[in-house]
Amino acid sequence: MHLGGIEISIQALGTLAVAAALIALQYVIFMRTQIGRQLRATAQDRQMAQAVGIPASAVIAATFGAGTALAGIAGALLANQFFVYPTGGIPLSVYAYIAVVVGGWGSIPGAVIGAMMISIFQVVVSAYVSYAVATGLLYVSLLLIFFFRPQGIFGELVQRRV
Amino acid sequence: MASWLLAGIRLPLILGAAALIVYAVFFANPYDLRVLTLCGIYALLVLGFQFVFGHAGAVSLAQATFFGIGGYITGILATRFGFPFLMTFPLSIAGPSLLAVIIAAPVLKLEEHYFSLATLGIGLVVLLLAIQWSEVTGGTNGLAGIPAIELPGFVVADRRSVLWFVWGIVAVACLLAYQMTRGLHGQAYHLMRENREAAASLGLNIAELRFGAFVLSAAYGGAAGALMAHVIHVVSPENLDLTLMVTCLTMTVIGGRTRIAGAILGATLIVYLREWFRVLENYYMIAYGTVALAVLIAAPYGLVGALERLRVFLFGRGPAAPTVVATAALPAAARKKPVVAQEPLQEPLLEPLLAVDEVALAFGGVKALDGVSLSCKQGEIVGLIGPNGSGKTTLLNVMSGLYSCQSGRVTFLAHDITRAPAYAIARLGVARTFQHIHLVDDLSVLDNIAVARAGIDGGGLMQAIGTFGRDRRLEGARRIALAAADRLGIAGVAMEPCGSLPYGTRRRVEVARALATGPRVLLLDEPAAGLNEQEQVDLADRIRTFGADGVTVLVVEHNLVFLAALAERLICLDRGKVIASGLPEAVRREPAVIEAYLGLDADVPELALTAGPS
Repeated sequence: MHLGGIEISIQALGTLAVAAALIALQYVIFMRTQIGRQLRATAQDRQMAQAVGIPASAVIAATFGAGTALAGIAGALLANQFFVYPTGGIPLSVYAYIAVVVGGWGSIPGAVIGAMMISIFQVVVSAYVSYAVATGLLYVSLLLIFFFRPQGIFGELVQRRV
Repeated sequence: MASWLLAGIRLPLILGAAALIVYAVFFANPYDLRVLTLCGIYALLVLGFQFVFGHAGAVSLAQATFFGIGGYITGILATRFGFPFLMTFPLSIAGPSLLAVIIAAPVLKLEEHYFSLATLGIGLVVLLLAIQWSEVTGGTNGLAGIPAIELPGFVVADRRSVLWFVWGIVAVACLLAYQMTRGLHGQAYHLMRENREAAASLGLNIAELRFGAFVLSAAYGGAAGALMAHVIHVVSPENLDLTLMVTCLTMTVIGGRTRIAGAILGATLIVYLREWFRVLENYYMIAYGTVALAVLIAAPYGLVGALERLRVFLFGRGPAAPTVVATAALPAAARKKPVVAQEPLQEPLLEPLLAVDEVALAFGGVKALDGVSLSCKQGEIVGLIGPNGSGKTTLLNVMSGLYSCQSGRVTFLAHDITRAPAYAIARLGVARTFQHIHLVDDLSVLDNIAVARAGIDGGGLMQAIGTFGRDRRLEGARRIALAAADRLGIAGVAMEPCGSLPYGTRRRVEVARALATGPRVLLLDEPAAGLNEQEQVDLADRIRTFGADGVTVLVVEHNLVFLAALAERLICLDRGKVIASGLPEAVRREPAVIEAYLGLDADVPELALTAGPS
């Protein structure tokens, strides 16, 4: 398919569409539904959540399952584009971790922005400098972000009650 | 000697070690010798990881990176420049340590997840360097042909000699690790990882402790990497990657995060698991993963902890450590000695000892402190009251250095301590307790109090290493701790673990701990909370004796009954401002105070003592 002067494969568009739909779905569930409220409550204060009747262990298990399912879908989407091998998930999980931390824990928009940042460095920056240097630059910019905003881009600065 | 052997699980561990040694000497074939050597190398790696992960409580994901860097330094210097072992080994230790020093400054300030991420990032960058910079590092294939260890006059070539050499280094490393984590130094780490605020308020320099642990972990990792390079004669990017990091983490968690025996046990077990499951060929990963998971679920505190629990279950708790008997036999006169260990001031000060001047602090839109000024004279007992949310604890946090105020000044003994870090303020002589009790449940009452001397008596890593035999600093600290416990009336439970004590007693342990730093000023945050009436009267009496010893006390309390007999002066806060200050009777009659506590409609002449506000 042609858009302007760029050729985009239908595959890439499909991946984008599926990812966008799932992320939007996750955002709606987390932020706008009662179940999402229960999930967030359990994350913030597990004992208190149990005290108001939320089955914390079930909630955590469900969240773990949902997260794994999303990872599986991501893998399936990527499998069309990249070589598949048993340990191929390891570097990706590292990038996922980086994206979440940079975006701020518990923030879905933050995670998306973090992921975008990593992709930009991996694809755009490494087109101009070598891949290794691009990774180094990514790392340095991460450190800069943490220096100025230790809670991540959208994270909340949580202070422990003394 | 017999009691030393029978304590804990020492005997089974020593027997197990002896069995392994016998096996290595008489029954092992060269392949087994190689496996045992690898166990030693991994044990060294895990020992290093225990400093930063176990003792300092920081999840550093760079341990494999340090291992790999050590290996690469040895590989590059030995193959390309022909440096001998005695040069490459120290450099392989110095290299990662230097890297750790460089990255420690920005990275150690980060909290938990971010720290792990930053260390992970370093690993990524170094891994990429190793792969891309092929002229130096040999790229994905790495460097081969690393020579055996050559000492002057002797080449460590055959597998048996390599085994003894590696384990000899491991033994030295174990000894060093033991020295560094015994006594007060080790207990300081324990408190630090359980609760940083409490550690900082006792004068422990958290940043310094974490820095030391981080650099040490890098040094040990580098040494292990160098030995690995000499043993398998190859160094490749596999020595740096995440898989090795996960292996290291697994070994540490399974063995025990802070136990030296755990490092050896974890390393040996994981290495041997892989060997035993090799029989299953392609399915060995499943078996290995299952067993590792099973051990983690069954023994969440590591195998060493599980073994000790088993021993207690089968044989009951052993006799109490002999140190108790020695310290409990303190003559009564020594125990009555005042705990003010710092030099008493020469003349009584006319100016205030601790003063706060127009301090303001806002959290977002909430003005927690809105221009608060107060001061305490030497030897005074001042009560700070106010309804919930008035800023009392926030003020205490600003005074003790845990929070930084946005404007205003805090002075202590003519020093401006407004921006001083908490540990520095503690070392100057300001001690505090907390609203939520911050004690270490696993340690005894005596040790919980004794840890207060770790920051004050100073003495860092070097001193800890040089202590052999009787640890005099620990004994001195325990003596002071016992005296402090005696002042609070809890000397009788000095050997009980804190986790098993009732709330009121734990409160008193916290006060004793603050007292043991020998402070000039004691800031108490709701010390009477949770105590029954008798305990409150008792505590008030004891606090009055501190005042008599020249210690200035500032007590934050809701409980007017408790303060009535105790405080010479009351200050009332409301919504971040001082609304009344003066003699207790006058403050209780102050209309602003009554309104703050009971509301505008309250029609009482004074705040009653009997129906105190909750």
